[in-house]
Amino acid sequence: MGMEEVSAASGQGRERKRYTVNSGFSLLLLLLIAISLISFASLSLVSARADSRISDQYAARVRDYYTAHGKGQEYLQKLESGDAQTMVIPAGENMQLVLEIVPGQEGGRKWKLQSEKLENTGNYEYDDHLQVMH
Amino acid sequence: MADTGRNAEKRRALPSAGRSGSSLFLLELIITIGFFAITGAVCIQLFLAAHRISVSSREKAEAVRIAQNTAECFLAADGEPEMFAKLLELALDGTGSLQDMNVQKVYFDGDFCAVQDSAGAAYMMELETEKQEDLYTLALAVCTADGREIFSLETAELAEQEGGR
Repeated sequence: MGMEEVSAASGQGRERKRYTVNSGFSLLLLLLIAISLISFASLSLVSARADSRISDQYAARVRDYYTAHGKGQEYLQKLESGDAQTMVIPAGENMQLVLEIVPGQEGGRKWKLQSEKLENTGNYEYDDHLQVMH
Repeated sequence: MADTGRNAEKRRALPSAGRSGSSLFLLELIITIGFFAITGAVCIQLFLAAHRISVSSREKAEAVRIAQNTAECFLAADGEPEMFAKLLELALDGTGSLQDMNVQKVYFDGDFCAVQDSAGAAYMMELETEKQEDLYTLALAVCTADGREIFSLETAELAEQEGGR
């Protein structure tokens, strides 16, 4: 493998240096290039897939929020009583839309939407321990 | 004398050794080219797949952005069609393409910039508003020019009432 120096005596007694490439060197070089190319291509694909997954999750989150908002508005449309209450509407994975309804003012609707907020229902327990010594 | 004899032996052996080396090198070259072709084909496939996924992600992200802007205009206008049209037109850079807000199509070019008509449009957004008593509903879908849906959402908003919400 690699470059090998071959010396051959010429007719005049001077030495001419010839360089030859042993068999397998080009294949090895190509193998290295191929491994690099395939690695970069695979990384590119993995990265694109991760981006795509994030886009899908974001799209689902947006769709769920507006659907939940619509459901909340439909609920408010049908609401007859003016009692104070809290309405919880699921808004996709680990999220919920919370509507706080209070009695309305005279001359208008019986209810008033005090607040509308999106809450996270996921229970995240992060591992904040770092075991330094056994 | 012995040296001369060895040289003569080498000279006799060289032609066949050269031929053998050349054919070995040729064989290796063929294998190398074949291997390179296979690797190249695999790499191109992988890069193309990554590119396709990337384009699709970008389309989806832009479609979500446009849909979200539109939905926010709808909510800000309390569903009222005239106000919604006005806000949406402002949000879409004043294309003036929104007239009757019952069923509407808004066209976009390849960079998701709103354009006046369907000529040269790469994407479109279909809007459908409906009124049920005092509840306005909006259904929108962002599609490619050939009708493939990228993103859609539905929402509703109660009309504003004095002393109401």
